[in-house]
Amino acid sequence: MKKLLAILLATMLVLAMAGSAMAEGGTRKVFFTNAFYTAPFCDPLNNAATAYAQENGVELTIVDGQGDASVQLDQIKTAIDQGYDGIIYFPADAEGSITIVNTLNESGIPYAIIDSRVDASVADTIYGFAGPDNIQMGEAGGQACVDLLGEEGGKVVCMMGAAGTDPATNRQQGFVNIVSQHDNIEIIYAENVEGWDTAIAMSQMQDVITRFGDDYDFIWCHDDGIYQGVHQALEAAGIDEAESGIISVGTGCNAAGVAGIRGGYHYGDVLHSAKEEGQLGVQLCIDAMDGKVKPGDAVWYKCSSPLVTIENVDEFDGIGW
Amino acid sequence: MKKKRDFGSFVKSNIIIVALAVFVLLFSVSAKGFLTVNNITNILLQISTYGIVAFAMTISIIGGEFDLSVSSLMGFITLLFTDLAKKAGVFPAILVCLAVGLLTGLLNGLMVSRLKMNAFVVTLGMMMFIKGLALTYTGGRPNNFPNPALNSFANGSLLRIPTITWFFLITFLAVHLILRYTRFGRNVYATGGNPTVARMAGVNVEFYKMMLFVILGFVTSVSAILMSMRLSAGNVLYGSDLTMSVIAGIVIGGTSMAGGSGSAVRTFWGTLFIGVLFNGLQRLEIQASWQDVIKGAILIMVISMDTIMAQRKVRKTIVRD
Repeated sequence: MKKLLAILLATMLVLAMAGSAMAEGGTRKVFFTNAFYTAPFCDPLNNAATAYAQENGVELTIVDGQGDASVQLDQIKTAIDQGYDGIIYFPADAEGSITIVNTLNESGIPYAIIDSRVDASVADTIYGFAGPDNIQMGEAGGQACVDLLGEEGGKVVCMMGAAGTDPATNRQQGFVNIVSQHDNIEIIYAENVEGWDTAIAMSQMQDVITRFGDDYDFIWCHDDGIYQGVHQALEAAGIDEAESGIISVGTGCNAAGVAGIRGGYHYGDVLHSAKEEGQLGVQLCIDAMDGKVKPGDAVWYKCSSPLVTIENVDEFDGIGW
Repeated sequence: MKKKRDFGSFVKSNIIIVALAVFVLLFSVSAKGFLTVNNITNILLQISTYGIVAFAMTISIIGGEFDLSVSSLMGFITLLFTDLAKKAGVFPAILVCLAVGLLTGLLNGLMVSRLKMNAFVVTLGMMMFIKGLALTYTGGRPNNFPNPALNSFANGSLLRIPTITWFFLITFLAVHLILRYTRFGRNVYATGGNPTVARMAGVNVEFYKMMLFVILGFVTSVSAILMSMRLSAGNVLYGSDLTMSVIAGIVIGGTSMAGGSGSAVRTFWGTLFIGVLFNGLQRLEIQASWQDVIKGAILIMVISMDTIMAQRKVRKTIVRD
């Protein structure tokens, strides 16, 4: 008992010292609530944002928004109370962002929205948004699907991102915008992958294989973490994507996506660079703190999103995530 | 000497209160602005939505059962409320949501009490069913309902205490009084402690088992409606960590998962402890990954101390007897 108490007190002492040390810095401090902190995409995003912040004399504190707008609202209220110089907000969902954006606007603290858009009702009040055009990304995937399946058309499996998130909703919307114009293309499966989790994606793909075998022609994955799970499931089932003629397109262009493209079993990825996005998010926040961007400007620091295939993979290798 | 012994026995029986006091003290010293009215209000607000459910779950756990479906129910109700409020008005939406909560609880309760099904299996199945229903209802899309009046109500305060915290305090008081001073409360303890003996003593165990779930379903709906009002939105993701967060607060407070013991007061302290810990760590500006490590370690330590104390108490009683 005494030992446990001693450990508890020692931990507290370390925390207290750490807290005191951190409070003494002279640099500008920015708070970043990342809705999907543990998603594979967010690890390089967090690292890139931290590194870019350091290069620019900003001390960045990142917390896990747990995919929950109410958690993020609480975190942001605490951050406002702490007096941060700037805030970066990666929304869990657009609809839940209304109260949070209003709270941020009332606080007067400069802020940046990153990755996912806020609700349209408050979109005009923000400083700006750093992220991709998810609808355009989905349309690029849809166009690849139409072009590759050609006149014969075919069956499509859609492995979507976490339900209710802006990227998942809009990437699918963009994809459907294009493929729905072609009667010869049939979406036979479209399910959300909880938490954009590779293991869950693998498990869901195993279900697809159980139901449909390899009787589909195209797989649309909302990111490369999901694609990785899909590929592993196919591999485990002994289905060779190249041999069976299954074409897959994802987004992101991470190491797994690039390996697939180079290996000839993954057609391509619509680029979504976590590094670029992290850097743009921090830059937007810096510009807001410097007064270069003002509330209501609603500027868009847009991530580039070309389709990366074997033709141009060398150009983009290592800049995805 | 007697005073020393009294203090010692207080510490041994109230580890959570002592730990809370230690943490409040240390965060006050190390985290700037921790002990301010604003931050205390913030902490109370942060624990309120889930805290309301925690008290109802305390009744269930004391009664020997628990419910995994509350997390999905919360997400579904937030969607249902925002959708119906837009289509049919706020009051019909509230009534329907409360009815759905009651009905869900009733179904869980009937399956556990009348069909003698295992609560884990029943509520796990219900969790999946409701989540599927929520995803089907809106096709995975979140809903918004930007109603300034409701939003101001949920984010407002009365006598400097946030509105939602009033709901939390009223639920706490009601559950405390029910458990401590009513026959219903005594029978819940008896049901959870030893259902066979309770039955022999004339307690209608099946009825009480059923009511545990009914109350929990109803209270979860209330909490979900408040969350929707606070965020002006509904999303299947809301409350996804509700079950685990709530059970953590209950267990850390000292209520036994085995049933038959515990109290609303213990849950109050446990929930407050978690709120203080999470808020304090954020204020110390520790990165999310380290926050999780520290939170986990501290929770294990506090529960270990409590368990060791309880075991020693039992051993001493046996030796004395």
